[in-house]
Amino acid sequence: MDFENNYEAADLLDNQGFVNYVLYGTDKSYWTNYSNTSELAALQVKAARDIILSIHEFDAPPESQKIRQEVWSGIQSNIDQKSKPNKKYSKLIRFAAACIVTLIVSSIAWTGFTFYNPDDNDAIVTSDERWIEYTNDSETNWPVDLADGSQVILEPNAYIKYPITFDQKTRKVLLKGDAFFDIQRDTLKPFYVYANEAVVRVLGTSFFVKAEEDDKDIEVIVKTGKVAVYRSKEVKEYQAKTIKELDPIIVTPNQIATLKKSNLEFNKRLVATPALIKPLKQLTKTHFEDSSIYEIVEALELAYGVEIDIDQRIHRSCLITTTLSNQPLFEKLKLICDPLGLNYIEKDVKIYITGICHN
Amino acid sequence: MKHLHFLTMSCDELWAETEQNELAFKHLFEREFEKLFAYGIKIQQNKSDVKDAIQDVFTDLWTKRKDRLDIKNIHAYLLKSVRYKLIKKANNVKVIDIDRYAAEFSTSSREQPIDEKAALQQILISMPKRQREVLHLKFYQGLTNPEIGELLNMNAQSVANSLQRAYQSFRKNKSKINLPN
Repeated sequence: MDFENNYEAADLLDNQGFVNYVLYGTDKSYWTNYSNTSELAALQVKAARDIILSIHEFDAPPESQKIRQEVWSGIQSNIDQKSKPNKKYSKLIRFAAACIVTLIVSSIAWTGFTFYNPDDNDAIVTSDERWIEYTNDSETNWPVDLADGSQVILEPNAYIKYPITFDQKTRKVLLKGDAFFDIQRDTLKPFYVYANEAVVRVLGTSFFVKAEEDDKDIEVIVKTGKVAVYRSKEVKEYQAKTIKELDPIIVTPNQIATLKKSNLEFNKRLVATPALIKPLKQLTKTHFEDSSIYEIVEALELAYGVEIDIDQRIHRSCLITTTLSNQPLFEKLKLICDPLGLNYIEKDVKIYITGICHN
Repeated sequence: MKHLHFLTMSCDELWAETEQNELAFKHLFEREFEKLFAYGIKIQQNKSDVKDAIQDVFTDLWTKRKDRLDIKNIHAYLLKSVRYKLIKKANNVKVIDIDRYAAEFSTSSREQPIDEKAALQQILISMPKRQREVLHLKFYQGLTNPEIGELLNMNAQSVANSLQRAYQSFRKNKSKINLPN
């Protein structure tokens, strides 16, 4: 290489190319070669470099992660106040605010093969797709956007592996740890989560998967929509058949499905506090005046997505005045049943109302 | 839908993406915060003022994002906005003389030089504050001379002169910092 220019240190500092080399490592070989042309050149490169680096060092701010979080929370609440009419934005930004961000580029292996410990579920990884791996090693939840517009919120320590673009037929991701999924509806391309011993097939929209590495059982909690949970083993054994021929456990909102690691047995129960499965204003009727308990039970079933059985001995003329709100289901049931002297119990993801109506 | 991997995007790309995907905005903030904070505390040592300024700048940017889509260099824009906020605040809500405040680009007192690094530090401290700000913008923030000129309301030639004078200071002290002729 021919170096016509014999740079002085000041020329080097004035040379944007040199500055970029020191700051970003651009054209490294050029400047290394230049530095090797003479002792003087080497000294000048070193001097100019030292000046830039010392400015960098002296001007670096003190530890600022905590301040950064505080500032983002501030921006957050400002934005929320200003964009009240636009609920969609404030909700999304609020969610983002809940995350401390650690951008760890090095934990992402673009090809996905070098750093990844192969395990059974790796069979889903086909070589013609480029996979991204991400581990949330921050202390709070971290959102990951998938190619189809779906979003996964990784809890701390959770790991996900997903393709940059999904293939033509299915959408598959690999999960270790706990994550919440908000899945874009696409009936032609089912969405699968491979989580250790379980495979979750998404039939609806949002759900939560707990799949920790240790001996804990795998839990799937559905918020909206519907998912099917399979045993990974069966999915692999029956690869020739379509997955639909297997007999999965279907999980709907307010339910938790558990796959026991010890014996691979499924179990299903209601969440501790079943909540409304759709916004109040989407319910056809929320206020009931002297209505039959049967009408109210039907409304509760729709509102909470939970099956409620009522003892047929309870008369249709058992009347209630009540208003549905954002209360959890059990609270609501207590308010309805207690004054009437009725009882309710939970069994096999169903609720049974029994007793004699006092009114 | 186009796949978005924010980690691979430049700040300008993140800004362009904010219109479609508000998470890009969060990433932009994460990427820019430390640099803006570094610049802010050079102008105004009171950390809480700097925090407020950055917070306001991002809030405004979000609120008016639809009118700000034409920003080409988001980093330079943010630096300028933070600077403006801090100076406006220091000047009791009136902007009269930006240059006067620019001249107050702060440096803290440091110990006597004991080695080459400390000598460099000493030179930086003893520099006129405007020169020091230009050095920060050029070598810490990575701005080009025209961008610095735009930010500080100087023409590019004045920026170049300012840098030259800064280099002279290094040269004058070359015995201390091992600068060859």
